[in-house]
Amino acid sequence: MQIKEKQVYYLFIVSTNGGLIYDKKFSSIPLDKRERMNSDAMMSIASSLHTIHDLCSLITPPSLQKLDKSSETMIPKKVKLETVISDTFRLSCFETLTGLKFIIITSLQSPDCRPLLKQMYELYADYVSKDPYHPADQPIKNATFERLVTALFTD
Amino acid sequence: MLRSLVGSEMCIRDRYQRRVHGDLLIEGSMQRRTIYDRPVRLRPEINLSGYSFLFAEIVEYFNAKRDKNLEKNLELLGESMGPRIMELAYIREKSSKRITKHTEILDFLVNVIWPLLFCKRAEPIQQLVPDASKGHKYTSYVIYDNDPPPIKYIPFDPQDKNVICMRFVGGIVKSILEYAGFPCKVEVMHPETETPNVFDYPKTAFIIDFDESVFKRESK
Repeated sequence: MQIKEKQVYYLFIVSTNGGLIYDKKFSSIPLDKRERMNSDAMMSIASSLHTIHDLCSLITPPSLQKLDKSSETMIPKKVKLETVISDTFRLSCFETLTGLKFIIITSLQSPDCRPLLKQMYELYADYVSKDPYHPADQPIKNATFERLVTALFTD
Repeated sequence: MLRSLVGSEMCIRDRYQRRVHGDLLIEGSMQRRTIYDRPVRLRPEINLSGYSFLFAEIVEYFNAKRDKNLEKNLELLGESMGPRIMELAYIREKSSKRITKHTEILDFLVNVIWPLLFCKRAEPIQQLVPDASKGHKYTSYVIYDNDPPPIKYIPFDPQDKNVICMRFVGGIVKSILEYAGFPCKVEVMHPETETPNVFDYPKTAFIIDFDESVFKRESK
């Protein structure tokens, strides 16, 4: 759970509509790659991840899908995107009950990020949902939230 | 037939419950239990999340109004709550003596009202020396609250001229003091730290200026 700042690259929060609400770049990203990731690129990545998440149930072969035995018609449970592993990075995604997605991109050596994403969700529920100046589903411009998220990553 | 049996059973059960809890007995009819039947001496607590959501919604509601008087509206809302809170606090306090000294009412605020509203005590009252050059003759009193629950999750940015949401509590304090017979002015602010324009948020200061009449009647 104690993740080093060196290993984290990006942090995104994607709203239920697929729009990017919050993004954070960390200093461990090499400079040449940092320039390519401007705000437009991040927004398109966020919406692509939102769509991919939704498509996961269609891509999973039926034998692997767990059926929802509680319902009578055996509707398959919605499959969620949890981790994407590539040669250079690992992407972890945590989806809440409301459809909000917390996505973190880390290096391959980093430990499991799901507890960290849950902590971020708690911070969101406290400092963003209860903020009267924050309109729903808009980009987060809350200084307290920013400060607390940074504090999560610095030990 | 069944319905009337069920009805009469509920009637009996209602009456039994009322006797057990020592409330007022409502004779005969099957009246529903209202808020006036509930015992007054219970000390219910609600959780901070629910309260914060409600308060944030209130602030948002006043913000959306076109007259742009957010702080004044919050104060008015607090002022309408003050007398009712005062009555409740008085009933729960077992003493029946009326408070006549201004130091006593301030202690009542810190030791009784604050725990009633926020489940915690405010800091001990501090006095401000009157500034003779500005024409102040009498001491002002300050109540500090280091971490007030209503604004725990609300951010504050002085550059953005964010509103002082604690004016709501300032309105409550003012109307409690006036209802108890102590006319006064209450000013709410977040104290400034040594660096200019940086405020010690969420610490809140309530500066209470009693009317001249209060000091005059006590000095006799």
